[in-house]
Amino acid sequence: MKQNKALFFLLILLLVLPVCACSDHPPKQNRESTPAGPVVIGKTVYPLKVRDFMEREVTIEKLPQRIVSLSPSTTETLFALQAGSRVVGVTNYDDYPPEVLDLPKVGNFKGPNIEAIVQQKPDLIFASDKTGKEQIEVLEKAGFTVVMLQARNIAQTMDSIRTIGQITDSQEQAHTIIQDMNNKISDIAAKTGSLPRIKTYYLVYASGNYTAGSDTFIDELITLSGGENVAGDMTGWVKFSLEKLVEINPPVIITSPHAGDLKSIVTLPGIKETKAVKEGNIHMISNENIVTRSSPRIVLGLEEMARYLHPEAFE
Amino acid sequence: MPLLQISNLSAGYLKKEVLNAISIEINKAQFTGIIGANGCGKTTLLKNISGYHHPWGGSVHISGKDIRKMSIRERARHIGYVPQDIPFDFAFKCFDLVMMGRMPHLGRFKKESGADREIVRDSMELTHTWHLKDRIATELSGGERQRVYIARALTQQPKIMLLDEPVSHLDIKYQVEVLDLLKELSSRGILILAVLHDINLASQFCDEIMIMREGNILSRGKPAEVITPQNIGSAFSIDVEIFDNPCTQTPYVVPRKKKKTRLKAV
Amino acid sequence: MKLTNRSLLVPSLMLLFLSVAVSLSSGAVSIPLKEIVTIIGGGGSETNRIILLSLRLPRVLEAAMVGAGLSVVGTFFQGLLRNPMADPYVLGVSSGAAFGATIAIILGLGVLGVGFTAFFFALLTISIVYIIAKNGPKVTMSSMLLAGIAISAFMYSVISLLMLFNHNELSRIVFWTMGSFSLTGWNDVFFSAPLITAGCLIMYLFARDMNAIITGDEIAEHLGVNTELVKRVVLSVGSLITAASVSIGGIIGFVGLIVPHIARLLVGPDNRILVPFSAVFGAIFLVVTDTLARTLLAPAEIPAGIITATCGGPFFLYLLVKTKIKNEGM
Repeated sequence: MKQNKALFFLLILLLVLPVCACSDHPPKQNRESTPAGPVVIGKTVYPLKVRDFMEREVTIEKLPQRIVSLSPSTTETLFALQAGSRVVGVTNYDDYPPEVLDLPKVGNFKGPNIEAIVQQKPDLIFASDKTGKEQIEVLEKAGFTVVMLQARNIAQTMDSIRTIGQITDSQEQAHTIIQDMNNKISDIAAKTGSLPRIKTYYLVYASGNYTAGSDTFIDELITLSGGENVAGDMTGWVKFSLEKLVEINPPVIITSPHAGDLKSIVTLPGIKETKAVKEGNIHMISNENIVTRSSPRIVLGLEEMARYLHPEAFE
Repeated sequence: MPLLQISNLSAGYLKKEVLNAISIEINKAQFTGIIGANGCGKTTLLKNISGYHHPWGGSVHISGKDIRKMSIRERARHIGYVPQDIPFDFAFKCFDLVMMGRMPHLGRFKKESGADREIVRDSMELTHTWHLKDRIATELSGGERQRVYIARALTQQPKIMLLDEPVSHLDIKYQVEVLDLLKELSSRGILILAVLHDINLASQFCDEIMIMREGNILSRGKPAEVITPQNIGSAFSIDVEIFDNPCTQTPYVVPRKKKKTRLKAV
Repeated sequence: MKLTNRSLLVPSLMLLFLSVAVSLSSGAVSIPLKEIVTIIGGGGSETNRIILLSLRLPRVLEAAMVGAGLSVVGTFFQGLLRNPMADPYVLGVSSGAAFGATIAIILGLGVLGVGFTAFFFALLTISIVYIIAKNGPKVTMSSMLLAGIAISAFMYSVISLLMLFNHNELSRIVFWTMGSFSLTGWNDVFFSAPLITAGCLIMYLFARDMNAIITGDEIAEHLGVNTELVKRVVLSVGSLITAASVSIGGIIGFVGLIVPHIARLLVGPDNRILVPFSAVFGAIFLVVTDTLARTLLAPAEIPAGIITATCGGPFFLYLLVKTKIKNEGM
């Protein structure tokens, strides 16, 4: 019956939600912002023992030469750390940097393709929380080394970068990247810290009016760029009431190309009644991945958002 | 003008011919039974007379009017059709079911009137189903439901009533009841054409019998004239003995015992 | 029996009025009835005016209309297919709409474009189903059903394939299919109102004919009913109503299945009485559903289709128990 199709789609949704990097539950454990292993910026010594986000100790025997990355954010980080030449397999979702598009695809929205992974003969696999526990187990049973990384906020992102830097013996580059990120964040904090907080609504999808609540990157970016997330007291990905939106009447709305065409978004009932639309303060982030992926580019998203929220600070 | 005139009726399904240029004239109301082996065309004949199927050739006239020139509703005012019992899963009351028979007279917009309700009552009393009027049709016995269907056909006030094996699946008590009813209806001026499965019942109750064989009318006439070993043997491929039914003096058919044939060694 | 039906009509309409009133005042933002009256009179706060008149009123009206429309179509389709388990989606209309919406979402056509594309493909699909099922001048409902199932299966497999190659749009497609009225505006109401109301009225003209068809196709024809005409009208108009409903609200299941059942239990199977009651009960059902969708987790919203699906399970269980009791009693 057709009703079963609705339930079927619901199951698909449960698989897909994580892939869009918007989480539903707070992390079971708050990972500390301390790196695994000694804080030494230098050459990595192998064999290396790291603690991954599943709180397992994983041993990296030697410098990985054939890396499979099952997470687009990890892929971005690997390339940023100059380790991109050693990446031999990515998922359908990976798209940055552009050369990644030519790499062999070993996973899609359903999860990792074990056979395709085997074909690439990797000596290290980076997984994320979207990969799935059972799949990680299968990969390990097949003899692969799997490191699971999952970042829900900027601090955890830096953690991941640090860990990846350690694993790939690119700790100096990791340190540089993290320093750059911290500089940018303090710079923006300095510019916007004393300014009044702007009530902001982030539109993820137009149809159904979906937004990002707390425990998402978007929420953190809004806060760090001097804004106040309208949906801040709800967790994760939320289908928000248009009526409430009209009542709150935010002065700024941020969205991304993922939500649709700006021209049609401003005509939507409810949204068109907001101060943001009436005063022309509805803005589009250039690329939704820079506000959702736990990669070095997250600070680019932060900067774009800050410029939209507090243009006066960037004159 | 004959009540029912069938001229050169040929009909079939896809490429297969089922009725072979049949011509029949019936001048007055009577109880006619149609018998024959399965596949000889009995039901096809009925559906072509009712106008449900289009013949390949020939025509059907009722009191001089060509049924193909009538609208569906007009045809339904002339002909009542009682099919075999088809199950359905909706809780209609018998009264409402019988009232459907007034549809050919009401059209899409007219509501049922007191006169219509009277006609329904008459039909149901004639068929001894008035006491079932508030019962749910699907909860009745087969025999009761069959009489309700006949009541419905009656409310159409047709000149001709066609029935397709109306008693084949009923207990003998109800078989007799329904056939008695049909005989009485024919005496009230309705031409009854019924496809019957049981040769002896047909012989006992019908005024006239038509035996069909492979799309043709093999023989037609009073039961005593028509039910002969030759005709039955030809139509049904069986050896029979004909006796006189002691109660009704109509022919009674009994299959002959088969001689044991030795299996030949191959 | 007639007395009982008439006596149910007034309370039913009152219940509808009541549920609409409650729905208009409930939501993430609570607007008391007194203020509703003020707003309609021309006053009230600016915010609440916008919320009530631009957001809530069209939404509640649409929910009522879609609820009524789907229930009426469900009633007729159950009669047409001679099966009380049928619903408006059984012949493939919803799969066509989902397919159209999928393509529109992938092409980035915006909310309006998605609706129109869904509508177009819904009608295209039922036409294909009809052409496949046709056998000469007549079409049997069993062949329509088979063709509908086959085409639906095909459509949904293509949708899955499209989702596979367009993972970015995947969740949007899934959310669309779950069904909700959250973005309904006056444009949607103006588009669907004439279609649904006119459609229901036209179908109601054939209510008595449908009674006869339920007892048998051949019988109906022998009673003077032009069964092919009735089938064609019911199928085409019913599909139009369903297509309009689905293109605006997504695939909201179980309404067209459950409501006719409940109505039939209360007022009997005569379509001349059943159809209007189905419409009223359907409107109530979907208005209440939409109210719950907006209030249960306010200010978050639940897709209406999920709420109706939640009702579906217990309903089928109830049907099962009822049948078991009936069978054991025999």
